[in-house]
Amino acid sequence: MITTDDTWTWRQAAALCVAVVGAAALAQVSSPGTTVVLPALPWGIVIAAIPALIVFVIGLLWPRQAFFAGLGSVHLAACALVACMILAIPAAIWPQGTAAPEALQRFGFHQVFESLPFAAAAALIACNLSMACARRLRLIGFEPDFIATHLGLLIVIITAAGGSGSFLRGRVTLHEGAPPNALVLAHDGIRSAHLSAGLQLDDFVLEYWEPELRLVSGATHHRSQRQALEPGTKIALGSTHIRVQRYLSLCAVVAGVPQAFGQPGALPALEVTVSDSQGKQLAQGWLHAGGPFGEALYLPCGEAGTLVMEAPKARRFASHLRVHRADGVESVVLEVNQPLRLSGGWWLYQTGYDEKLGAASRTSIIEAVRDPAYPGIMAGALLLLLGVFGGLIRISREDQA
Amino acid sequence: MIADLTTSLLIGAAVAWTAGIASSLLATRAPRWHRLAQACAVTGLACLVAVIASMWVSMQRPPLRTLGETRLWYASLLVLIGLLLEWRLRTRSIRIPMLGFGLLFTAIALARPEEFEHTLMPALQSYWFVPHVVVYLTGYAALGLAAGTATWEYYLARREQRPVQIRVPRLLVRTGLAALTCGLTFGALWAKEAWGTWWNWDPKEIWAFLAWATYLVLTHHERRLGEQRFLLSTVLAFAVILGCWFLVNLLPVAETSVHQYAVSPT
Repeated sequence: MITTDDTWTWRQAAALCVAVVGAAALAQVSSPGTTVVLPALPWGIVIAAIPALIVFVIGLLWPRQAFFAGLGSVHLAACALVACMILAIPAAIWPQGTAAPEALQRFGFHQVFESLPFAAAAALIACNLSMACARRLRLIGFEPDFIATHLGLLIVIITAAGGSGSFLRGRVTLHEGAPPNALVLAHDGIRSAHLSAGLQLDDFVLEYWEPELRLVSGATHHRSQRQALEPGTKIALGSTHIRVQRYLSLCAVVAGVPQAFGQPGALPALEVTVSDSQGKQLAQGWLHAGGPFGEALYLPCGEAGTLVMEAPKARRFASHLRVHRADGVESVVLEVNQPLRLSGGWWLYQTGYDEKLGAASRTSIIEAVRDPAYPGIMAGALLLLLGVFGGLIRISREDQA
Repeated sequence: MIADLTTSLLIGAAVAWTAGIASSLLATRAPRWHRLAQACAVTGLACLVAVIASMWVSMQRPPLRTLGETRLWYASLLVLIGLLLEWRLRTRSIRIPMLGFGLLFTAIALARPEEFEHTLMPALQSYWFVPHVVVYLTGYAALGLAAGTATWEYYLARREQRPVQIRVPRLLVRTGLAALTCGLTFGALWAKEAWGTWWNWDPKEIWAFLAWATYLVLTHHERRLGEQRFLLSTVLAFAVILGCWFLVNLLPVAETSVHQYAVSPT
């Protein structure tokens, strides 16, 4: 078993970390707005990969040289990880970006994961992983789980950093009936790009979960099961029984009385009778969650509590799109968790709609992403997973032995 | 009716595990109590599995969304991992921490009954939902059990005036770290599919990174730490897991998180 105890002490590893990350932190404080942005591919990946590759070759050639051994040591790995953790702690407590506390903004730590010190610590980790892999290969030979986990993580770091300059993520807002739109506005509000196809929204569909009823009595809550609310439906909440008399899927509340109103943004209302376990009627009346077309209607039920209706929540939303490509027009459905691939490396994701209008929304918000580093990151992640499973098998065998 | 059944089963689990702890303590003097302790552990686990199964059926969705739901999974996975490890390593040193932790989380579920929502937002309707959360909870359970076993081992070693043994906590930490790594990777793959980005440095993700990095440092340094300090570090490292699981919801940064659905609606 190779150990690196004899190469670098804790103090040496910590000194290198403090020197590198500290210098980067000083540079950050002196220029608070600085963020690390690598150039677009292929130069981004070249800048990220070449140093790691050089370190790897050096590790293969001179694995026993004290400085290089120290660069691949566990001590340095721990110190660089601790540096990353220390830098991440403020972001784990306070928001980042423009919502960050003034002190963080003043010193340029309001975008800590794009800051110079974080990039320096990540670079140290990449060097350490590269050197550790090279030394392990040269001195011990091929250990599948070690190489897979460390190389997988290294590939993820390098490809994510190297591809960041070409990564583009932006919003495409589509309206029903509008002409095809291919313009992506990046989230930084500065960059924009054109999709490889024009998008036209034919129809936006939003389905709700059935509205839920709650019987609230002090700190006690009873919530209805998921079920269709039709006239005649019986619901038991605790020892209280509810019977649905009427159901209006879209309504407006006029002078305290719901009336059918099929306009965008209207919500359902329910007329119910409430009785106790002996069948004695406790209350009768309308329930409405409250919205742009009327106030909330709830039903006091004596000692049993108060019956309220919750606003319906989105179950599924999807955009029926027409994709205008160079070779023709195609109709597709875009849903959450089911991205759509376009040519030119673009992927489309269904992310939002006009929430004020709800099911009546005629607007669909789509996220367009171009991520040329995708294959590299995916390969690294899979290698990492393989290494983890291999490591578990090895640990189990070692323990049995 | 479902609520009554759930409460009865939770009480059943709590009673079984209390009896299991009592039998385990008796077994330190008379080994014949071991069988009863094991039977109690299995009975309690069966009750909790029945609770989870009944919730899954009645809510028509995986009960993995809120803190209250994950607590039930946690207690079950903790005892399941403990029983598997007992069988695999032929050790009984994990039984009391395992049942103690299981009982604690079951008692919290009984003391703070949650109003379970039946809805599941579109972002969570993915085949990644169950593997991502279950693998993470398996990691949390293994690492919680490691902290519990470390504390128990430290206490026993001091009482019996013998050197501490770290075989079980070390195996649990390694298993837990492997599960955290898988959970992290599954989460990244899911995020890519849902939002187009692998990693957003969302507050929950930052805490997940902190927890993962803490255990990476711990496992890489276990040989250099020495046995007593390894046990102590295992307990301290678990505090970061608790931060990732519970504390993050109370911090100023929580409102910017896209993982807010993990907070109980009550």
